[in-house]
Amino acid sequence: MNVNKELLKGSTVTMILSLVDRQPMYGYEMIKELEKLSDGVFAFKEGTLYPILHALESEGLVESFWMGEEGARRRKYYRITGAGKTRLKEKRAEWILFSSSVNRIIGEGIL
Amino acid sequence: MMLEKHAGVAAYLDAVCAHIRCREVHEQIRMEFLSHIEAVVEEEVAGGQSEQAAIEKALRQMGDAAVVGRQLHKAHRPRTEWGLVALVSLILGIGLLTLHSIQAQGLLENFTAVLPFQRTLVWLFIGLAAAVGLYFYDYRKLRKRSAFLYGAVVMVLTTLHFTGTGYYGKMYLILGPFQIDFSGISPYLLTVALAGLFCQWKWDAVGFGKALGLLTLPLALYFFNRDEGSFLLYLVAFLVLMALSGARRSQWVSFIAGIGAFAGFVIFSDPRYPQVFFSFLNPAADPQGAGWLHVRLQETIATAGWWGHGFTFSALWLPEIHTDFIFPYMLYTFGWAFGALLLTAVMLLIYRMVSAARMIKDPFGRHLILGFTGLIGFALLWNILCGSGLTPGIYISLPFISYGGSQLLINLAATGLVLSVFRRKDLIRVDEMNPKKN
Repeated sequence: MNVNKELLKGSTVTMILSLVDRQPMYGYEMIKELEKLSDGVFAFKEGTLYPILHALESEGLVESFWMGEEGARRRKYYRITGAGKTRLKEKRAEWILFSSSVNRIIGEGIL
Repeated sequence: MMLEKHAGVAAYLDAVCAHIRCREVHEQIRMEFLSHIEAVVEEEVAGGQSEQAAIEKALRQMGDAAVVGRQLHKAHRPRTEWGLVALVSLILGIGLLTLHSIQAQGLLENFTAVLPFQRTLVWLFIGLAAAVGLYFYDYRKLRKRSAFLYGAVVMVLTTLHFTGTGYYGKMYLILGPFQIDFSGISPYLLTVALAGLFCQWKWDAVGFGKALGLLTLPLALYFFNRDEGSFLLYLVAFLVLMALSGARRSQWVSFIAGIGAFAGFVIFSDPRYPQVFFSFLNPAADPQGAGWLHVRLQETIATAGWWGHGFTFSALWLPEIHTDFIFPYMLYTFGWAFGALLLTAVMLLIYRMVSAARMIKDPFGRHLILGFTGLIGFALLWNILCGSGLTPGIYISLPFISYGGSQLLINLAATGLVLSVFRRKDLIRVDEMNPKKN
């Protein structure tokens, strides 16, 4: 089943921050990771990931660096910053409150 | 695999970049997208696809170039520090108003320049043009030239010392119809040079020795040219940049102690200086002589009142009211409220510059902004304190306000450069190859 885009919008930032919170990643790696972790539910257009990453960087929530040996392909990695960690904490709390409330109302999945 | 040359891929990257106005990020985005597309194509080819089909699939997955490009443009829109622009404009406005009233009252009749207010307007336009030019200029190019800039400034100062035309003891650089107070603007140029040199400085014994050379050479020239104001400004900018670039506290303290010992030596070796110094400490001891100015300043402050005396200033009351003592004139005429307005604007300006610097990731850019903050902030505060009789007789003109074309030009140029750094704050650097340890 496909997830409505509008539903996805509010939580992409939280998901991306969670990913780079674990370890620095490059764009393509994030896409594959999101697909894998969501069992293929989140397969969004790859081009839309980069504007989000670049906006997060200009807000100072992530920072980027290039890695790779000479000659081989160099990749641009993103890692979370201190400000990013703080934002992630807030976003995570917000999400838990939101999702548990929705679950209570629609009556499913309460653990 | 070299997909960069592939017509479809190149067209896609061009189409994305066409929507991003900030040219400086194009290269970065191309590299990042290319590495992504290559990874997808490699996987598809390994899975048995033809290269052409793989490329088409990769591009399809990237999504509409126009949509992606527009979103990236939003993330990389150049930022203008409008708060800084507003504060500088306010301070410039205060300066123009003050200068105009000094001229309208006929207080500068003995002054050689014709119509200082009109001259200032001309310099203001030249300065604004320079600021706009520097705002669009990629300041990062200056970094490679910092050693050259330092050398050039020191050379011109040395040449001026031997050949310059003296004017109130200062050496002026004559360029056609212009008299340029090169000594006065040189601390700004040296700050740019030091920002470039110090943003990657090693503060070991060798680095300390070299820094000592970088400090003393201009200081010696200022000392011999009797430009105490520039001496002080350069010293402040140097110490700010030194602290910023990670010098140890012991190195700091030794510089300050060295300069202090030297200042002490100078004060007691030349009879001119102790007089200046002691008259500052106790002006009432010689109210008709050395203490005269301080007595006058204190009286100006004491009697100004909240709204001042209006346009009743007498030319004999204080000297140099268009430059060094423009602040006491302002207090006398417009009152403490006006002075408080200026002081508030100055404090806000310093605060804005420091908080802008905190957002800059590029070390050179951060050094540049904080170096200028030290320089301009110190000059503003020193002049205000000086005009209130609270500092000994070293005169520094009031940035953006005092009369003086080259000063106005260099202050506006510095502002333009600060805005240029801020505008590019979200640029991502290619040269950062290695990750910091998390």
